[in-house]
Amino acid sequence: MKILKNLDNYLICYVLIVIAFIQLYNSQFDSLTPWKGGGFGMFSTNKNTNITATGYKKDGDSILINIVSSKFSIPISKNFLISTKNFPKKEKLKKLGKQIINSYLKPNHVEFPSNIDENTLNHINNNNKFYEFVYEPTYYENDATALAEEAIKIERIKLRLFQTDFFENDLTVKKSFIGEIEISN
Amino acid sequence: MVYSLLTILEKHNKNYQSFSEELIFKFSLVLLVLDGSTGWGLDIFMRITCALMLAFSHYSNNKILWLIISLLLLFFNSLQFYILDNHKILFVYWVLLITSYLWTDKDLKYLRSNAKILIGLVMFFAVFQKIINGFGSPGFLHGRFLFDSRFMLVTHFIIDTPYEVLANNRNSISILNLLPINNSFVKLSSTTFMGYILYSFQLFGLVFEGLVASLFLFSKNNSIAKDIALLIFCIGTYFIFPVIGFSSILLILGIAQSSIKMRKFYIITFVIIQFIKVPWQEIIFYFQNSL
Repeated sequence: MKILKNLDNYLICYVLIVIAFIQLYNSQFDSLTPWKGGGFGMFSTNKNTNITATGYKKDGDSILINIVSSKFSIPISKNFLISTKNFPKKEKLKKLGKQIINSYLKPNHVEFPSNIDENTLNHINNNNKFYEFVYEPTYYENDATALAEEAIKIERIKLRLFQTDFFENDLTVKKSFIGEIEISN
Repeated sequence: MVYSLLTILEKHNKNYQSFSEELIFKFSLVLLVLDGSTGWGLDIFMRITCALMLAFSHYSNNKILWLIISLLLLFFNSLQFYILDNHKILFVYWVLLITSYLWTDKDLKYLRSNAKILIGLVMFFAVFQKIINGFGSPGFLHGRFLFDSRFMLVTHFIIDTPYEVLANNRNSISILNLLPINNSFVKLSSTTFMGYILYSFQLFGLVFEGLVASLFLFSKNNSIAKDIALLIFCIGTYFIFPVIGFSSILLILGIAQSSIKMRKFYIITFVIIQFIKVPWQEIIFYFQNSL
């Protein structure tokens, strides 16, 4: 009886505790960021999950893709993208991959900053063709305008998950590989 | 149609039993109008409802309207659960408590004791998450102050690193995020002095947050120490970390659980904390560089 009365009086506090523990489980043993999900872990870590994408064209050539959302929510909605970045579950990543495959990808030039590590800069220079352009999912009203802007489509995509973190001892932001998923048309 | 709707609504108006109760309801509505929204749905339906409840104050504790606000918050916020900041989730808990208070025969003690425990729990989980995520080691604040745009100007003022260098840090990290290369990294520039200052601040913040958590979870309802600790925490923390919604909801919960003597300090702090919105970093930067 006393337990029931206590539960009745403090039900919302118990709800907070249950949600916070679910969030703790998901952030410690799955990929949810501690900053979100009702566990009050904001401002607790610089660790961040980072999603990169490599697209494969029909002829087998690969391209670098920048996963960005669109103002008009086509092809990728901003909320869906942020939610996927905050908690990159397999189903969401598959959906994201499909959205990118089904959209046109517009090429943009990119400049690589000098404070990236030497090995990475060497790798970029050795694979100049791959890193020359970064492609962004873009909405086009028709195929003609897409082709006029040299936008392309891909057959399949590889999404790779990394964890980035800041390291105090050498003042670096470093990324380490977590896993990958491949999605085909 | 409108007339019959108003008649139904009026049937569910309640008279305030005390000034404390009226204050809690009205400040909660003010908070929802100022910072309760998380998108267009709540902007339109909830903020307008809350603003009208404040304008026609005999509706400010209307059972039906608070139920509608709860349902709107639950519906729109559940659609974007993993995007929401934690304080928006705290808003929902608080609104659910108010609604539950109105629809049951509980007295004001129900709101007061729940508000106190909510503050304690939020601070406890904030400290717990920091501890398990390695906040006790150096680096968290130093990193944030080097690449988070909200703090980069403070860094610029402290160590005199040119602002463009800090802006380039951000750009470098966004390029790094594009690269599918394991173990790649960018090197940032800072000073040991900056690292020491921020690590001290980091540890002090963690201990103080722990103190607020334990005071709210374990001290008596009429303890003044917990109120003083929370007020210092809100002023000290949120002028550097400009998260106005979180500080505001903590202060509203503070108003709800405090004694009459301490309530005025919460209200004054609630007003002062709105000045977080003043872009003081940009103003200092402007005067430093334009004169």
